[in-house]
Amino acid sequence: MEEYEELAVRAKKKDVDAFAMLYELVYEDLYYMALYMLGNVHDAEDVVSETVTAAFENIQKLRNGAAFRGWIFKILLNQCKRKRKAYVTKPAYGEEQIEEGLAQAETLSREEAMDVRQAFFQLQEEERTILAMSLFGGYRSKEIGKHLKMNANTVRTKRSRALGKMQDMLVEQRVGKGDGNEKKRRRNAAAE
Amino acid sequence: MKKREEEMLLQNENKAIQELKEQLKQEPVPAGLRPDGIKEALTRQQETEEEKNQSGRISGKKPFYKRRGWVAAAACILLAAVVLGIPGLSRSLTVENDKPSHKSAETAAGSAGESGSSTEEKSENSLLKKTVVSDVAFAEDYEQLFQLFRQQGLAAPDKVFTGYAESKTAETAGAVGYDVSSEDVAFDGAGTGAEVSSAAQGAAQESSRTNVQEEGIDEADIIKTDGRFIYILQENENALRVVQAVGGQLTECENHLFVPEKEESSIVPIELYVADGAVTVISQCRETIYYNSDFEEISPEEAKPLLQEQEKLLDDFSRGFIKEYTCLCFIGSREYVKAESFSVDENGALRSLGAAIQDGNYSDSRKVDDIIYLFTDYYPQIYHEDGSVIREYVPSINGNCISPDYITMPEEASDSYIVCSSFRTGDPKKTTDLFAVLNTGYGITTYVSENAVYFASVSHASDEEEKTQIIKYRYQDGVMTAGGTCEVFGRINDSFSMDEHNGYLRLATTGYYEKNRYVQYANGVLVKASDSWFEGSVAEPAWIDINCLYVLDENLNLTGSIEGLAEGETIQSARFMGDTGYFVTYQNTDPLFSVDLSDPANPKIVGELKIPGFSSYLHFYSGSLLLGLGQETDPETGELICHKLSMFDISDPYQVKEIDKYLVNEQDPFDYCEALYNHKALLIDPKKDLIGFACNGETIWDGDGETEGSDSAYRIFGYGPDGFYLKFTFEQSCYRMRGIYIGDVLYICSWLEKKGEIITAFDMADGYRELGSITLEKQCEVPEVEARVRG
Repeated sequence: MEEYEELAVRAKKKDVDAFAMLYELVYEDLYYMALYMLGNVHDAEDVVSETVTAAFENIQKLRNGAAFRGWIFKILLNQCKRKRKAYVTKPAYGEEQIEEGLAQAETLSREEAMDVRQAFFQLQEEERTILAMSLFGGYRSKEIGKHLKMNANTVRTKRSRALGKMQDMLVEQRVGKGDGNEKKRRRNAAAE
Repeated sequence: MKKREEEMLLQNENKAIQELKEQLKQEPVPAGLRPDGIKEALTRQQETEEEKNQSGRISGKKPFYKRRGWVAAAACILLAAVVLGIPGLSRSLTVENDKPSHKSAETAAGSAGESGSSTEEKSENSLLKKTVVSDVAFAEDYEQLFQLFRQQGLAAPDKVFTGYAESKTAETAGAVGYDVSSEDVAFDGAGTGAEVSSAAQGAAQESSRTNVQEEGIDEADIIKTDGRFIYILQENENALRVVQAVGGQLTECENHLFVPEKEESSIVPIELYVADGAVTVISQCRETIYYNSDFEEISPEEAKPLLQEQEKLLDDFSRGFIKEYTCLCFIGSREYVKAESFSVDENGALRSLGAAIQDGNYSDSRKVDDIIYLFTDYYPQIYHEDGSVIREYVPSINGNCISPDYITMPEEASDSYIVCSSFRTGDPKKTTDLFAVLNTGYGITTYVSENAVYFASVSHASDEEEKTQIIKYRYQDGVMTAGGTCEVFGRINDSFSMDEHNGYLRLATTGYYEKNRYVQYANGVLVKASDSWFEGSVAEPAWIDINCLYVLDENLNLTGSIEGLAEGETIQSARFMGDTGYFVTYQNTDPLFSVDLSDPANPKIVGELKIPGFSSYLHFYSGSLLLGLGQETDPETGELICHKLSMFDISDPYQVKEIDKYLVNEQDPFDYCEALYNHKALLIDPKKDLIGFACNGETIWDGDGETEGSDSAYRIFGYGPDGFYLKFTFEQSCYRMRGIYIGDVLYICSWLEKKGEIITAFDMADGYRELGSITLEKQCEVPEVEARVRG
């Protein structure tokens, strides 16, 4: 937290370097939260850039530097809310956008990661929001509940169900791809 | 909720979460967002800002780039001056040049407020910035509406793509219209419904009704009974099941499937009403619509070759063979709600009486006598830039676009509608009345009193304190008239936070506000102070929740208020009865506030009872008893212990007492209890001394989907001279459990993942002896078979 505080003091004096360093501490999580809430690479990018602009403009209003992370996430959440409101219905989730991104990423477990993301976007919007907020924003159930106008317990239940669904879908996908040995074994065991 | 408990839960899921997070993070962050790029952009932004400041101009806030061309946008950035860009902050209040200490400021403001000399500033800076619009403006013509949406930036989708690879088919969505039928919308306020065969007459026994907020105003639910048949709506199965229930003997009569009318469309039944031998099912429908490049509707067959060609183009485009491409086919959608009524004959067979079709997404509904009021949200989607196609931005009912003089306009711009129509259950095709109102907020909570409908939604302006916008419509016998709009501070917990009595609307809100920026006047009103007070102030700025109570008159003018209650806590439940209101806020303990509302100009907190835990739902059990359904928590740590029932003695609002409490299933604090959040899941009848609800335990996921559901229990409680007592427990492994009764027989309907719906009957007069059960089997299991073949 100390690093936040010190940097925030400088950033408030409109020190771009300091602000950029603050930003560096959080930008990945900012982007992922936006991406997985909105489901669109470009909108997520927009939202993060808008958030940064707003944060830089208003950094003086942040009195406690240690709270920088929570503060900038709150801005992001508001921006996401607006973006979401602008969607008429669910956004067209550009599968190939992710694919495109992946080609650059050159990860070892590329296939597996792809599965996970596909499964993720099959979740309902609400479930995505809950997971994205808790994974990347570090929000607790109560705070998520506040955002979604939902009881903290409901959030918890929904989060567990969403995680369960993810696991289910991943098993399904593997079965679909022909290496569903695990599931087959279980089925056979059950049949016997 | 408390840290420890959360962390416990998190630990269980931690591994899964960490793995998931790692994998999700393999998606690369766009280059434009890397810190060095941002730094550069911010530097540029700052330079421009300085230039602007020097030339003395201020411009609106703008992000430093939009995705369509970073460089271009960055070059023409206009930057907001840091403080000036924030409205309100630079406004002065009562003491402009004084810099009193925080404490003395309060006194100063207090006296100023009382003297009445600062009324103007007060209204401008008060927490509650009220903007009453009593005279409702109707739209003059469709052109006016179209221009409004254009101002909001609604436009046809781009046809030509040059910037980057857009998603495959430039999917656009939204409710677009459809062929306007030749039939006119019938307005007939006095119209009587078509004949309804009253099968339920005579034989029907006294039965349970859906637990509703307002006596006499029915709310839709998934399970209902008319005393003879049980009607179950199965969302997962798209089916309405009708089961005859006579003294515990159950016979399935009808299984009505809801199927989409066209290919590439969907229908999901959501809720139902039962009235006098007629059942009305409300379903959400969605239709996919294809457009050619001129935005003319085309059939899916026509679209197919276009989509294939488009895919090739996109492929070439993404490989860089072509620099741009024109979209050949657009995919849109139309959302509408279908409310279909059926007559029920003596054998439980259904016959359709027709359906009301209303554009938009289902929001809520109510039934008063035999008239249903249906509320939907509608978002316009413009394809034709000249506004020539009205149905793209005006919602339709039964195929006819709503006439402009039935559409009310707000002062502020908006991008969606609340649509409402009314019809009789026996004749849904015949619209009794309708209206549409342009809505500026989102997240609508609907409350219907015996005279009026209130829509509460969160206002757009989220920069400052939270605001809720209220839109009022009066109604009588299906005919609705606009009643104005206003804005109050805070957000609404649920519809129980609103209540109308003698024409006054009472509202309990919770809002996030910047503490230390406000001072409290002696009359309880919070007023924003000028900036100058805070220079040199050591007080930490803190955004914190506070709770407020507002009383509004017939025309939504504020008559009285209490602001700033229970700082740091949020309203968990509220209930009003006549001149008294009760609400529960929560942090670690549960203050139950009682409010005397007999003088609308001067609401008073008259009682505050602090007990551990909190109630999520309040129900007037009898004249002097208030039932609370909620959770027990540790008063020290706030740790959740279990669900609980509380009984409050409210015979003296000044001295409310908790006279008994019952802790439910202390072993498992993580039970999910639907009745806590959905009052319709609660079976309650003080006359029969019945309090029934289900708790679902944790679902064990074996990854195979083999589970029938979570370990659940339906419990029936009574309340006697010795307090609460448990009458009956029924355990089952299932997902959803609801209880209803007909005569002396209790029926528990449970939804099982594999088996389908099971209804079990119990004789309440004979120690809850099981009388029988019926299984309504699931109809299809397609995915399982497929998986096995491939595996």
